[in-house]
This record gives sequence, structure tokens and C-alpha cells, in this order.
Amino acid sequence: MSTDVQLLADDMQDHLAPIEPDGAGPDEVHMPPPSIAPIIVGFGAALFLLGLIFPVLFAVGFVVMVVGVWKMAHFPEVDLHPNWLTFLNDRKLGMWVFLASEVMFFSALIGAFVAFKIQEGFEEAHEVLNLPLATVGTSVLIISSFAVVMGLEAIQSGDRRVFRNWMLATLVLGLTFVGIQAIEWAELFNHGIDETTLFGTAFYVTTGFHGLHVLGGVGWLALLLLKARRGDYSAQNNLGVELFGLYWHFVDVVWIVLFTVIYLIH
Amino acid sequence: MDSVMLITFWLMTGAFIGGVVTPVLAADKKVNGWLAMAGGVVVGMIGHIVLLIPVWLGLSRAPRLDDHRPAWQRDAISLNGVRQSAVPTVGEQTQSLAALLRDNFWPRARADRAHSHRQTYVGVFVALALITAVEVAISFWESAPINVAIPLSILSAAKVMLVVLFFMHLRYDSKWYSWIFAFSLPFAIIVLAVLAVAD
Repeated sequence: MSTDVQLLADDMQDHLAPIEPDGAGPDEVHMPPPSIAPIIVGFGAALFLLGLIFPVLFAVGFVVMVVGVWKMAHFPEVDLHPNWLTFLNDRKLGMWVFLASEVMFFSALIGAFVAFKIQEGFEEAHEVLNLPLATVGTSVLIISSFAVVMGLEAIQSGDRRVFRNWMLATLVLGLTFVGIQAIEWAELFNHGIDETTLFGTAFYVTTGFHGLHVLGGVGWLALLLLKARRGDYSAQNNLGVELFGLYWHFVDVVWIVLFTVIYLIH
Repeated sequence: MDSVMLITFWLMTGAFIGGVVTPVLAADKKVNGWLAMAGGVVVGMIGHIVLLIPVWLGLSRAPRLDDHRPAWQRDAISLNGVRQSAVPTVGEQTQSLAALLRDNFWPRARADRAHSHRQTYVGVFVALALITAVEVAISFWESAPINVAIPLSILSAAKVMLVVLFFMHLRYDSKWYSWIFAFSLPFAIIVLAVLAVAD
């Protein structure tokens, strides 16, 4: 081996994590060091919410959150072993608890919409709603859910190229859905349905919170794609992808319900 | 020898620029033109020596290579070259569209021969698409014998169950996750009921 190849190999050693043999026991799992990043995100979120009272804090909180998330994105991907007490994976457990809280959040919004609908009928609004466009949006979201499971299946079988293609497709589909929502909002607003009408309030709050969730998912997916580019995910380490999938499917589920309640039933 | 010639040429360039530019700049001043030119030559040479400092700093900090071959020979074995040579390129040009799609979008079977969910996912996706089509068709049904809200609710509940059970893996995962998720449903139902009856 010539000297420059040796130099190159030494250089690579500095940049690559040590490769662990398959089936490393719990003693060999390298935990990430303690980090302040989650606290930064929490602080930023608090500032962001305070923006409801002091609008200038919106931007400040958002920037702080982005900084925290950016730091978190540099965590190494660690596939935790099941908890010794519950035999459940703690990260997945946390995700399901979060999704359960999201069910309660969206049930309140959808419940309010249904209650207004029972009282008011919303018949005149139904003339304005663009059902074909919303059907396209629903299809886009369902296809994106399918793309996520296919991507997960690919990375679980160690196929990184197929995984990244599906995830990229998901990103494009998610952005398409947001774009379709924007068109729908503009259309409704031009027909005089604004925040002063009961239908407008109910519609914008419900679909707006859902759209925010889609946007959040798109941001998460962008970070996930950066990590995938770095080669973080593999057949042995893909829980991060699965957790993102759970969130994305949940957003899809919410839209399935919203589509039926807002567009189909009248 | 090359470097001495280069440096000499570099200093002469500086002297020439200084010697030409300075008399022009000094034309309006009360200065002898020839004196200005001489000063310009000196300043131009010094200026070009100063400009050499960053070059010298850069060169002195560059990693020393024991290999004194020209760069194009030295870099012939590069990381990129090794990477690219590892990718098989045979038959890339003659691929059909179907093969291209399969290579880029169809997940491989599991290496450990564990059960792959590929077919299940495709089936669930087709079911979701069909149910959505039926739902939209039902919503256009003007003379329905019953309130269309009932079949629509049932169909959308079926879609939700399909996504939650198969895409979110609740069917294969620990029952505890299902329980946690189901735990939020009573709350959802109570909220719906209270809001629906409230005036």
C-alpha cells in the first residue's frame, strides 16, 4: 500500500464512526452525550406560543426552535433496546403517547366543526367548496402514506436507494398537498368566506391546524432525508424512519376524517 | 530554477505596473515625472512581494507529500475513483422503464428471509384508493334512500382502521401501543357527544 493511500485511510478513520459488529450487546450501545438541544426547542416553542400575545415573539421563538431542531438533527441515530420493565421501545412509546394526545386535540376541533354543521347546515358553503380539488389532495396524501411505508420497507431490507426515492416522493407529495390547500383557501376567501363567517372560522382553524401538521412533517422529513444522505439509516437502525412514518400516517388519518366531515357529508 | 524565474517575472510585472501608473497619477501634482516613475517601480515591486505572502502562507501550510509525482498521477487513485469503480455500470443503458422503476422503487426482499410486507402495503393502498372513489361517488348520490352520512362514516372509519392497523403496524406491534392509542378514544367520543348536543 503506497503512502498516500495509507494517509487517505487514516483520514477516513477520523471521519467514520467505528463499525460495530451485528448484534452488539447492550453494553456496547453508544448513547449520545447529554444535550441541551431539547431544552432549546422547548424554550423556543414557549416563545412561539407567547407570540399569540406579543406578535414579535413569533419570529424569535421560531428561530430558537429551528436552532434547537438543527442541533437535535445532529444526534446520532440510536436504536434503543426495549425497556427492561415494559419490553417496549421507549421512543416508540413516547410517539404513541404523543399521537394519543393529538387524537384528543383534533377530536376537539372536529367535534366543534360537526357541532356547527349540525346547527347551521353550511349549505351555502358547500356550493363553494371544491370537491374535485380536495379529492386530488386526499389522493396525494394517501399516496404519500403509501410512499412512507414502501420507504420503510426498503430501508428495513437495507435498500438505501429505494428508501431515499420513496422519501423524496413523500416530500414532494406533502408539499403538493400544502399547495392544494393554499389554492382552496384562496378560492374560498375570494368567495367571501373569511374569518367573520361561522363556516370560515371552523374551516380555517381545522384545516389550518392540519396543514401546520403537514408542514411540520415536511420539515421533519427534510431533516430525515439529510440524515439518510449521511447514511444514518440501515437495515439494523431505522426506528427514526418508523417514528416519522407513524406521525405522517396519523396526519393522513386526520385528513381522511376531515375530508369526510367537511367535503362529503352534507 | 523555475521558481527563481517566476519570482523575477512577478517582481518585474509589479515594477512595470508601478512605473506606468504612478506618473499618470502624479501628472497633476508638482512632482518630477521621472522621479515618480522611479518611486512607482520600487513601490510596485514591494507591493508584489507583499502579495506573495498569502501564497507563501498557503503553500507552507499545505500537507507535505512524500510523493513528488505530478498531481494528475498522484491523485489517480482517489476515494471517488474507488467509489465509482465499485458501482456496476453493466447494462445501465439498456434498461427498460419497468426495470428502472423496479430498481428504484420496489423494495428488496428481507435479507434474513423475514416476512416482507410489500404485497400487504400495495393491497392496503389499492383498498384505500377504491374506498375513496366509492365515498366520492356516494356523496354525489342525490336520491339516496338513507342518509349518506351513515355509509360515509362507516367507509371513512374503515379507511382509518386500514391505515392504523397496517401502515402504522398496530396489527404486528405490541398490544400496548394499541391500548395507548385506544385510551384517547373515549375522550374523543365524549368531546364529540358534548359538542353535538350543546346549543
